[in-house]
Amino acid sequence: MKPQESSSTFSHGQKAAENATWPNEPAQPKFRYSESLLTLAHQAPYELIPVAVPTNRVVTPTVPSDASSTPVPTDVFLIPPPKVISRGRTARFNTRQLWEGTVTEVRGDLSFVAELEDRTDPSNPVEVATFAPGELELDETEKQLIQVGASFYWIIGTERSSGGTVSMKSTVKFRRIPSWTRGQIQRAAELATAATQSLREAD
Amino acid sequence: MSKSLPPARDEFEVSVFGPGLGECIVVHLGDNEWCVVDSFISRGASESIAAQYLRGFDNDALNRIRLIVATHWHDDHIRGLSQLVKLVPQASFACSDALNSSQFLTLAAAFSGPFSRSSGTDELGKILGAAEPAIAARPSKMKSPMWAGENRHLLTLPAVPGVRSHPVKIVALSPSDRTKMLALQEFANLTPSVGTSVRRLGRGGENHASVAIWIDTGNEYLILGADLEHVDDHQRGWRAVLNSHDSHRTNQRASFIKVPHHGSITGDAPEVWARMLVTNPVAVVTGYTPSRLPKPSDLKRLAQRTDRLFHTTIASTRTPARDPSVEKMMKMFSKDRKALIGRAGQVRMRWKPQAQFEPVIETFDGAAQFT
Repeated sequence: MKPQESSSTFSHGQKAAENATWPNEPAQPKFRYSESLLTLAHQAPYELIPVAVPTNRVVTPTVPSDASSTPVPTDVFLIPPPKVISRGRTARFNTRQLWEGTVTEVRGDLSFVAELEDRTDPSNPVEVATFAPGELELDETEKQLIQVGASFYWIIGTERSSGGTVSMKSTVKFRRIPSWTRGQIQRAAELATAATQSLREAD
Repeated sequence: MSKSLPPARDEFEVSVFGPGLGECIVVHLGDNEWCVVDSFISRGASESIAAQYLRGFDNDALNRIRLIVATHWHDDHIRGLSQLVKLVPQASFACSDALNSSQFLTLAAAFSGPFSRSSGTDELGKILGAAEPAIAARPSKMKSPMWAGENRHLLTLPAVPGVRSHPVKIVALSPSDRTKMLALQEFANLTPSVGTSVRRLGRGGENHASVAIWIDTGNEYLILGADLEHVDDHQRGWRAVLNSHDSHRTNQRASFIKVPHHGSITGDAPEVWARMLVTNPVAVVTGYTPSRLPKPSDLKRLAQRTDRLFHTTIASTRTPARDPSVEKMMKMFSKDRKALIGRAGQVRMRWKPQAQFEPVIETFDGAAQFT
């Protein structure tokens, strides 16, 4: 991953001295991370983002007052803790309303009338509405599925983009349905024959 | 008058129910004997509106249904009918002669059970025994179905002294032989073939095989128009009915009509009003929400023919309330949204046989007179 530019804050108790001086860039700066941070950085869903070190400033860390006898190292740069971000944050869809629709009429311009059964609240009455394929943004494959008797789902919900923007969205998806099999057709013929015979006997 | 108050034994009644998708007509033929034409199940109910209504009388009315008629196989006329037939096996069952065919029975068998999705063929498949045995409703003691065709007598009830002064007769006005032939072709075309997609069965073309009914109560006549259409063919639809009316029902004119095909122009035959109905008859129209029937122009046309026009579903198809943001999206992507099934409105007409026809007409549950 490309190193992320950072003008960087100094965190976790470190702060820059107000009267810092600006030496030449050290030849080979040493990076120090705590063990716990390194462990955290290699665990999903986090990842380690290398942070560029400021090239033109030297940081003088503050030290505890009782540590005046401790020599302050001058050959290191303090590195801000690695910035932890979530990986692969994708758009999320939250369904607010779902219907199962059945096409009851198809018009010349491919607009269609459908009965809508409320799957979110089944106690609601079946509704009937007219749809225009242009407004639904159906692709050609979907359009070919618009036939009387075809079944589809209509979903309205909120979509949160990867950037965090929330918007309402409507989606219509036609179901790919199975075909009649020879066995089913044959069974229907058998039942019809049995019914015909039964009705004749009853006469 | 209370909805649950039964008619007197010597009183006749015709009640038309409609929730926006579906219609059902319940007729009291005198002496606590009943006829049910078509069926639907109200929202939240578990049985036919006819069964619900008759149970409300608490006088064994349900068990005194004498005739159940399925005018045709479309979904909006038939839901709950197989259950009703099973509940009252002693009643006669009548349906279109066109359904007595291998073409229809194959269709009914194919679309019964898991592939049915509440199709009307599923209900008829159960009644006629073409559905899978595990789900077939046809009771063994059920009478053989009567196959309705043009001028076929479906039921005759004798006069009962002090209660019913004349015999009551119920006659099918349709379908004609030519209609039956076309219906068979349609059934064959609708039958699935190997490799075609499993879809809900469409409604087909015209309501070819619909059974319109004539009821003769001795004093008054009623027309129940089903979904019979008016087409440019004298051997089909209302033209065929008109052709045989004068020879079979000389000088008989009905004082009541259940307007055919939800008031649509396709079911409108002006000659029926001129030759088969009295002046200013009582007319009841039922709604069909998917096609927005009756249209305002239909109601206007019908109101010009009678000032006693009633509508079962005049204002009962409101959509449910949802979250405003969802509503906004729904409006962006769909148009003309309506609840398919609203309240089951009822128009009820009762009368006692007397020299002058003076019916009492009441409306319940959203039904109203059109003014």
